[in-house]
Amino acid sequence: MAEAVAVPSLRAVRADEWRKMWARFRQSSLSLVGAGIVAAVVAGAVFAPVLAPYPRHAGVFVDFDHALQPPSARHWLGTDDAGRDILSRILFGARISLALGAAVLAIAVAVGVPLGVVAGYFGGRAGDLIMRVTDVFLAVPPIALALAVTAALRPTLSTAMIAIAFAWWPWYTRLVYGQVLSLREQQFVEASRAVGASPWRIAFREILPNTWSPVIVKVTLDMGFVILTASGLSFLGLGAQPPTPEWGTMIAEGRNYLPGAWWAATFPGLAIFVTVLGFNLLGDGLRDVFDVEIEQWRAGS
Amino acid sequence: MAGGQLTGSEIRDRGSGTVGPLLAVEDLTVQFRLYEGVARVLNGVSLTVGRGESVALVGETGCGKSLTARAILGLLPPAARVSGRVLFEGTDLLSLSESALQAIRGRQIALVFQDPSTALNPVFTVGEQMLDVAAWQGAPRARLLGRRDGGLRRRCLEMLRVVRIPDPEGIWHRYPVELSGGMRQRVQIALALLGNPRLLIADELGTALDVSIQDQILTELLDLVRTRGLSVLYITHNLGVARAVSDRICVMYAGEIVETAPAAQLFSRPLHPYTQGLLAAVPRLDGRIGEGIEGRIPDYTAPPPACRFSPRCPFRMEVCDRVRPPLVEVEPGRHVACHLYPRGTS
Amino acid sequence: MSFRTYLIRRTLHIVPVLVGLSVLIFVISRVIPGDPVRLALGLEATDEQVAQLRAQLGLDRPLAVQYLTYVAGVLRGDFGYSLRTHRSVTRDILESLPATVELTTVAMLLAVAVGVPLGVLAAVRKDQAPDHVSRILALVGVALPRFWLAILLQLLLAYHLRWLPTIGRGPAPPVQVTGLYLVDSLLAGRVDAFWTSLRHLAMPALALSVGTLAQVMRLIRAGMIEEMRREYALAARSYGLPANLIIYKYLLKNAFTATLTILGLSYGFLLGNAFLVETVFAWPGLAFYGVDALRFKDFNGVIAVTLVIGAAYAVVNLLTDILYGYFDPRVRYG
Repeated sequence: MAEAVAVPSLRAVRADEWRKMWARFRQSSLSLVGAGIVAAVVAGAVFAPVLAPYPRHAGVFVDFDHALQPPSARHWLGTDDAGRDILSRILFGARISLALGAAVLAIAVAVGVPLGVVAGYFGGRAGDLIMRVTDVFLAVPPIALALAVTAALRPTLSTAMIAIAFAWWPWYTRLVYGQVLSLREQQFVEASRAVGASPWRIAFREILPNTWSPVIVKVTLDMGFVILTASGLSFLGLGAQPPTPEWGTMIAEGRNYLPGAWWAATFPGLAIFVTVLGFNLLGDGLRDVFDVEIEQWRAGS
Repeated sequence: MAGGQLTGSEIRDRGSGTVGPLLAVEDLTVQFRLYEGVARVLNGVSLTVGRGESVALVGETGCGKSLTARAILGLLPPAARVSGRVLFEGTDLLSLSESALQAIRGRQIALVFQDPSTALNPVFTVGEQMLDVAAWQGAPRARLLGRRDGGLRRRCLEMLRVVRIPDPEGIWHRYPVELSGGMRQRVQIALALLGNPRLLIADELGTALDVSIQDQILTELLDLVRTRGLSVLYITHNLGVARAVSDRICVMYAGEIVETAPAAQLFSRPLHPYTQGLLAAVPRLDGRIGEGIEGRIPDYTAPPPACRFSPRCPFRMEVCDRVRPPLVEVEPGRHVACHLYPRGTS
Repeated sequence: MSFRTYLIRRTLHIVPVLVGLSVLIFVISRVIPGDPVRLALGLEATDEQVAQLRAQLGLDRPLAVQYLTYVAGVLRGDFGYSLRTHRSVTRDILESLPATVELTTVAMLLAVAVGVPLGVLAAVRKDQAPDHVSRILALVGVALPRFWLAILLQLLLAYHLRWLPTIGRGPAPPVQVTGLYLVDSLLAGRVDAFWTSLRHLAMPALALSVGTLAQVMRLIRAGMIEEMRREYALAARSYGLPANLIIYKYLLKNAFTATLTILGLSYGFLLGNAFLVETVFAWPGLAFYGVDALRFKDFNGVIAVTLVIGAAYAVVNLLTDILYGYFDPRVRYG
């Protein structure tokens, strides 16, 4: 209520800020679930060689005697058409998905954020040009653009990564551009200008650090979407190739044995779903914590 | 209790012969639970509006005036915890169901909003909004399609004429965004009056407009009030406006009524230190501006223990931080909540 | 700026974007390392044959010339020749486009028709059971891999329950006017054909719409809650108007208007996901065609599909902007 104006003592503000952030995060049990899922997926990826019952099954391995076995005590999630343990492959697949997501977003941030700062702070011809190019990239859905790029390259995991990053950076340019535009007019920037700080210093030392919280939130939310997109490319045969234990590739392979061996396509999909869900929940929680507004309207990718 | 002492006392009863005021708010308390704690934003508010009477509720921004208006009509957000009584014609509105309240809103008590540019629905024409009110006010459910009645339209156009809109037919198909501020305010008043209410609550009427248009609107409303015999509760932060439009003034501070008095008496001899401070802040005819009051409205989650005004009061005494001063009648027709005025003396 | 001027500007804005897109895609497609011509002619082809076809296709000329020739063709409605289907790409596109238009339109309508009421319900019953259910539905809907959902639906509804056909679009209706089977079968007055088409369409449309549906539901919910806090909503209550009028007329129109622009944007992601869903259901649409073109490095096909998708996306966003102006007078007069 606007009527109730609270005036906390100035000294308590800082400590209170952190306590409030934590309270906001904790408030939603869904955020905690998200953090739990992400932690579990990361742990699964890191300790895959230890956790996987059949680590050798992650790579080139064939055991046709045990092909397409349903879930059992020996193979909790069943085996695929080459007799490989699906659980083991999913655990190793987590490494691929997380690494790919992190790489794509690292590239997108490294390219997109500086361009956004330049366009937003300096504006002018260069800024105009940057935003025009961004518009062009945003004119097609990321997956369609990524597909077009894969056409130019041989389908591998790294080309999928390059293709997605190629389609993804403009989102960061646009996000940071908007942030910088509103930050540019604020007092602390005026103050730096007044004391004669160089424009580059202001842009990258004063303004850039203030755009981090929305970028962090967006990276968390995007992690899920990048993983979705990458698995989609692999599913279409335009990303990772067999026998790589990439989740989308596993679904594409397992799909050939439907409806009999339903487990081969179902469980890798479940892994994607849970991972994406985890990152989305965590991202939502962080968004509440940092109290930033992000146009995250995209319905998956 | 403060409320009990007020209701029975002096009631101006004009027009109808019925006993008792039209509206009697008794010990109204509203609390919100916030992260910082419980905020008691209305703390035992009591006031009355007699039949045909114009009462002004005056106080600084954030003192709970608008909240009082909304609480009377049951329009507070669900999170608000409300206690006390709001007697309208002897019926406690706080005890009514939402549907019973809905039958009273607009047709018994209507609200005129401060900012007509936000109080009108931006995506419907003036005519559409008026027809809806005319057709469905008080109905349990509305049919969403159909309904276009020539009689309703005539009634609406007539009301637009009543509020002195020069070309009612002309603005009928206009959207609020196409109207001037003064026109929007008139349309909003017309919407409020469409149900022939008996009590009008005007929340900071015209504050969002130019001063000249604000004066004009206020004059027009005064005329309407007189010709239609309406009772009015004016909510304003402007003592000058309050004096011009009301018979009696209630002064509010930090969610409490601190003084009520007939308008002229309040100005000639303010009793409560807060009222005195407010009056000192009013621009004088000789061009001087008074000193105003040091400090600001207290934090509602941790208000001063007894008298909420004491931290800003120049006459603060030891008792002020121990005992909350009740609102008592210190002379006929004048109530004040201050330890400077023991009961019955002044 | 009047609304008309705004719309004209908005429409003109599409042009540089599409030109930029065509340059981008053209450059990408021309740096293809493998030789698509050799791929098309097969391994037995002689070098002379390859060179001859390259010359015939103009691939031996400078890139800028190739681009200008291509654009000139596109402006005449000619997207070139497909090395894969050995037909005009324009013809391929025209044949596959209606299937995608039908699929994405039905998916979008489904998302709005189901998402809007659910969003309203969640807002009205905020923090109660319907709101919690809708929140979970939304989280699941956005995180579900569309192709996986499609496979699960096939498993359940087609293989196990045998309610719906597994793949394809079904037989074409007797009259072909629009290429949209649902419309054409109705035009022919054939209810049975309509039913068959609908049964084929049901699973792909459902799989495709889930994410958008979730998005619409959450946006409408957020919009409704935001509108409820506005003063006009309070004013409407103060006039004694009934709740159903306030919710379904006053609040919903405002909330839906606010959702519209975002609906246009999410159409792009619907198009993106069509690549996956069409593949799973062997739906003979543009995306299905595009994936095949990709696999065979048929660059004319790839460029055409990307351009058409970019154009469709731009047009849909223009349409939502027009609708926005229609619904919200503030845009027109502001």
